[in-house]
Amino acid sequence: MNRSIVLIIISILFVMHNAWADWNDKVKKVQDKIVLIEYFEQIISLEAIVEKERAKKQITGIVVDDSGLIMTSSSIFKANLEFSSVISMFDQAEKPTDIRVKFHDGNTFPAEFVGKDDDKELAFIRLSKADNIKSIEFKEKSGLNLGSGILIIQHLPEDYDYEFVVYPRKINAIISKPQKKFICENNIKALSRFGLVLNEDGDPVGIINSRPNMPDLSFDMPELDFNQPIEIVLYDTFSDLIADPPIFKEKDTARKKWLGIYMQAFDRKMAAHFNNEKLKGILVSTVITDSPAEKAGLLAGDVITAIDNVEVSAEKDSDLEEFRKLIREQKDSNVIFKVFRDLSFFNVRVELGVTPISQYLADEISNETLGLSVKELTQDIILAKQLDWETEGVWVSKVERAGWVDVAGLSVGDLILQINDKPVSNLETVKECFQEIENEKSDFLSFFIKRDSGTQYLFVKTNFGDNK
Amino acid sequence: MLKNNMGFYMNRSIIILLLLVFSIQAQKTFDQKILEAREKVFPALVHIQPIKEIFTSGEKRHVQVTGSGVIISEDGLVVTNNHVAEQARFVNCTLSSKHEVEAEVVGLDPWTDLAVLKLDLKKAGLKSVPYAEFGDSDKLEVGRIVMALGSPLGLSRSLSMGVISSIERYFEDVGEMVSPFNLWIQTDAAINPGNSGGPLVDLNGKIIGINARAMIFGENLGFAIPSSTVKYVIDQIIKHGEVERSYIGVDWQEIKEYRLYKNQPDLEGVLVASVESNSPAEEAGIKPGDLVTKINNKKISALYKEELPKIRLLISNLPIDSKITFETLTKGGKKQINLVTKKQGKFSGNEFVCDEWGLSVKELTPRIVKNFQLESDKGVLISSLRRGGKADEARVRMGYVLVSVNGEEIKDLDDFKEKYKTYAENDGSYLLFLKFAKRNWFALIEGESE
Repeated sequence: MNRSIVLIIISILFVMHNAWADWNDKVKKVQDKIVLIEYFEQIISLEAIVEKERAKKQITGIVVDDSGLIMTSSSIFKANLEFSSVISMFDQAEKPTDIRVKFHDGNTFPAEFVGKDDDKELAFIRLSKADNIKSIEFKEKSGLNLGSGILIIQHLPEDYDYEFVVYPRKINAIISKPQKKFICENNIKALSRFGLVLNEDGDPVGIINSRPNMPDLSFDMPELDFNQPIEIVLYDTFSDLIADPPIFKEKDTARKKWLGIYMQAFDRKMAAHFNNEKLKGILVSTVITDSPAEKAGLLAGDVITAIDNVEVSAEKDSDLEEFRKLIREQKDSNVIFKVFRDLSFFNVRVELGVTPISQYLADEISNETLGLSVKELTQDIILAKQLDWETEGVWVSKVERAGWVDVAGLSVGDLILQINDKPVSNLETVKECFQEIENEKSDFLSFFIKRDSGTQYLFVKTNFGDNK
Repeated sequence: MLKNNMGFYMNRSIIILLLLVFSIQAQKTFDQKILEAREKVFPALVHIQPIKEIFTSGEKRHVQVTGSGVIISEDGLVVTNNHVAEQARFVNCTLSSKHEVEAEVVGLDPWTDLAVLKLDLKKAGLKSVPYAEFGDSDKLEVGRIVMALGSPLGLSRSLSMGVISSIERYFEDVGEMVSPFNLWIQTDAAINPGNSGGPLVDLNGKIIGINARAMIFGENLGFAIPSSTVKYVIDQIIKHGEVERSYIGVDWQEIKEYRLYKNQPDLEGVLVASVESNSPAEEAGIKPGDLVTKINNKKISALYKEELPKIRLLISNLPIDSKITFETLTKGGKKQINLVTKKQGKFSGNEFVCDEWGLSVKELTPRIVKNFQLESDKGVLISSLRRGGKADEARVRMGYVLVSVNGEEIKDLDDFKEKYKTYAENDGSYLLFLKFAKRNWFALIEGESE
């Protein structure tokens, strides 16, 4: 009896020791591939034309290629580059600058921003010089299941000197759509929401990368949402990005395919109402003017049932993401839709377009004398301001506090229709107007603007005299 | 010497004494004046408690509010604010004599925030009631003493005193708070919620304004509608049950800075800032940037914002379908433009409850069409939803515009009411097509049997 108890205790101790040794070994294998990225982020102010302030930030990254490619969360550059219905005026439009990458051995190297994928919420940076860099090798088959054990590695926040934090979790839930995600409980306050995931054998199988649901409300303080579950994203969802990373080229950044509709789930009850109980598809609710969808003749109320003979359906909202992904990632822009309208089916050829840019990629010009910046009109702003889709023009993106135009009452968001009675339809005409203003140095300027549902004139008192 | 001195002292003390007597008398008269003025209005003061019908959560509900009013005729006409009397289904009034009298709404004018009620004297067993008289608000001066009477926070028969702080306060329209035709009397006499509709009175006991607004977070910043406006509106309401106004669809702008920009210090006129689509002004070819110098051969000018209500009244007070001639300065030079006024659209529309669907809908008024930037005035606005009701389940939301049902276009509220009768009777499924912002939404309302 006594002996067996002793044996049991010994074996428990042994197992525990082993577990510790196990963790150490697992971490050691990957620790030189998990890096701390330091970067500067422009602080956005709508009340200053020239951005002066920037903030230093840190985030975890993973070396994914021997050439020095490092993957991290797209929160390193938050602005959504492509048109979507959600706009936040306060995301920084500038890519991160002065990036430095700190390795576990303490060595630090400079790096450049490469690009990002907003759908997958991943960004890439590249070391300026990459000698002797060993990248992580993800395992293609994760073998993860409900209840599987995993080990998560991240950095701790500044208070803990960015030390590694390692913790075991079990898969608590599996979400299958729109991309497969494994969900675990969360109670660690890590530096960021990005980190590496190892399976029970210590093989890297994926990452954690959950952006907060409300990016602007948490003020980048993870403690406000650390009770949100952790999402694990497996290697196969981002392997193509590592092989061919997205490249940020300002306005020339490659963008994904675009159809130009708003859609709704089409459930069984809808099908019954459409007198076709077996009908499955995507309900088109809105067709954007001048979009590929409109050019193809799609109408609100159409039900898209197949694309290139592949059936599509959405019984609930989360299924719509899958359709969105399918469109956005189409290789060929020429596709055939099967559509149900007026109790019958027909095929229609759709020439998919490229997703319009968001206001973050839009050209902007500033005039420090007047104290304003203006941007070309993009679809997201048209939507937010409920303008006609065809509206041409420029809008006020920044107003210098107490500058000339601010004193005259111009506000961020105003659509400029005329300057000094000259119609303004694009940035070129604005440039010309600014030039004329600088040449003529009049005491008063006139801005004809649209704000909300009405138009009005604003007269700007200048102070050119003071500069003479 | 002594006598003389005595005499001097005598004289002085007599003067002091006399002064004292005079000042006491003066004080007494001031006090008396207030009491006398009060006596002229106090008996005509009314404490108003309307039961309002509001539409919320897809249902018709009732709430009671408190306001003030003043009787202006022997037979029981009462003036109050529109925001006190609007949507009232039953109005209970308590007179200064503590008699409780029912009243009915004679007419409302949301554009000036005024309303007229009629006391049911017969039912209350009264033959006549004391009433107050109007003064002339055009002759007011800043600094004059005034009193505000009413029921602040429900404390009935209260009086507060102050002076006129300003006589031409102008407010731009903000949401439901509109007053395009008003210049307000500002007073530091305390005005609180519940004072609304009560009279602002001068020391002669004459009504010079109807108290309507106060500034939150401000101290003693109360605002009253001048009696000249009140008299006009009451007159119209008594005659027509409403104030009929002419409309052309122009937003005006003052020209103080325009003059500077144009470098023409003597320029007179008023600037067209905005022209509403499908309005008489648009049809006549009036464009933003036009300077209107004459209306019907009469010179007009608005240098400051405070002068805009006057210009607006010039047009709104014309009979509907009036022909007007504008003389304008456009980019192309002097031009005469003729247009015909239309009747100004309703301020707020009627509402209707769809019990089976769990929602209420509201008429699309021109104001809603403008503020929501709608493309058309066809349809009805979803004004409230019952949580868990059929419409809520189909994710219909407040502020959406219902455009069609099962492909049938909804023209307006009356059209929808008619159609809804059949929808409610026939148990089937209905596909609602709604619009919001620049998007659409399909909502399926299921039948009971499915």
